[in-house]
Amino acid sequence: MLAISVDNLTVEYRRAFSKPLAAVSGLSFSVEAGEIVGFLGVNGAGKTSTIKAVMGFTPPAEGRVSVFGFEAGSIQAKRKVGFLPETAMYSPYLTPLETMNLYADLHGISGPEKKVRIIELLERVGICEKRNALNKQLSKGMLQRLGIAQALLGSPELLVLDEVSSGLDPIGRRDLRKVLNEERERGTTVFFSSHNLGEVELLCDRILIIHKGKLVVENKIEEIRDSVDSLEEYFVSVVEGHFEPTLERAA
Amino acid sequence: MTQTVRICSAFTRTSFLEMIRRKDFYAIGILMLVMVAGAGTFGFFGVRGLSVFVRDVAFTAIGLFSTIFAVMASARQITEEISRKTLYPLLARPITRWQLIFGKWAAAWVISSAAFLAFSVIGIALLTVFSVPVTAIFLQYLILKIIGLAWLCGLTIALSLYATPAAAITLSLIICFGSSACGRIVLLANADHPMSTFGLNVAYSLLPHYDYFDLGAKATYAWPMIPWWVIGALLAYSALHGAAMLLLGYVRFRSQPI
Repeated sequence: MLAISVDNLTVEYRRAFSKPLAAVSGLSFSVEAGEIVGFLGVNGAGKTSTIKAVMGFTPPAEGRVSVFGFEAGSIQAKRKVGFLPETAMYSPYLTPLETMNLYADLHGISGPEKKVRIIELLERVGICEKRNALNKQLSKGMLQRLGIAQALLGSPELLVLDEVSSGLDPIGRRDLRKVLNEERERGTTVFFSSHNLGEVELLCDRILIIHKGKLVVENKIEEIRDSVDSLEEYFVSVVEGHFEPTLERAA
Repeated sequence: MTQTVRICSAFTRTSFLEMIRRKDFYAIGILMLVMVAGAGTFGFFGVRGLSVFVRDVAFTAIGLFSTIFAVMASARQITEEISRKTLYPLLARPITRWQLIFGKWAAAWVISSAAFLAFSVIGIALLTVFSVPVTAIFLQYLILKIIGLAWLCGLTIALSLYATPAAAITLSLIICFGSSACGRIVLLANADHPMSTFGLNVAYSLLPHYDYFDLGAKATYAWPMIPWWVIGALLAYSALHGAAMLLLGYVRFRSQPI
């Protein structure tokens, strides 16, 4: 079964008195249920725009995006997805416990199950001790851990994580790998973007590389390992090979 | 329906916690206390017959500061979520954008009403200290102001979806205080120029009117209570106008890329 299906997606941003800017054009790919897929690209390649379309935050100018067969952004699709945005600054006047309570209420989790689930998740991401401290007293890494906890709240079948390891120290990254591996064992599909290629290599079954809004590589991580020494080497060669104005850049 | 109530209650609870942890609520409360206390202390210097003056200062301060608080609280409900990037995890939940707007409006209305009641308690406590009597119309003043705050929160949230938070605050305050000024201009207009009087009357009826909800002047001069049907009519005006404002905000927000 397909967890994500992106068909001929074009995402455009309208600007006053000028042509719309296409962040993504004609993008097609799919993610099978249970897979862990890394979504890679240089800054401005169109990763976040694609993720926003998958979440239904940005309507496609063209094409179709579906999540488990439901239209992206529909209530049915949202019930199955957990989402971590890139560097969200959770309300500085709330504690992690209160923040999680808000998201649990919005998700429809209530009763004794809510408290148990929240504490369990805060323990899993390693910020349970800080549950009653205000968010403004937490470091960037701790806020990222809180973000991961809120994404896991509804026991999602699909996790969409944008720049998942942003702000995390080596211990945080190790803990994140543990959490994602546990989710893999539970059968959760994970679709994430990251600039940390070591992380991607350790976690992913498959990678997609997007460049200038177009998909340039879709490959299994094992096949990449067979052909080059590291994912970083592979990524750089792919991306630089697709830079059209090579001489201009050199100049 | 149950889901919408749950969403409203979740947003209200967190907004209330934020309100009591922010400094602006206390700063506004202290400023109001200083103003009313300052007016009341004239009595200690032998000035007599100050009841109307002190009531005027108290009701003006309560009305002014609760309006400013409501506008500020409403303008940041959605825009702050956007700037902090926390709108994404909110909209990733199984809720619609309309439910988000409605929940945020409910939260803004409840905390603005709570702040207004807190300011009123301070004002009444000071009036009691200065032995200034308050008549029964004060109860209607409270009810009508809370009804007016519902409308005001709707207007500001809608404007915040079209403009920056600063512009939304400015526009809301201009509409609040400008609508009553427009009423005065209509009254003062020269009847010898029927066209300009007609134009002003049209503008007056088209403008949203926050001044309809203010019984401060009547409470100051200890008028008798107004008929309850007037409050009922204003409740309907607030509900219809406020809902229209929220719908206007939703039209903008429903397909807006975020």
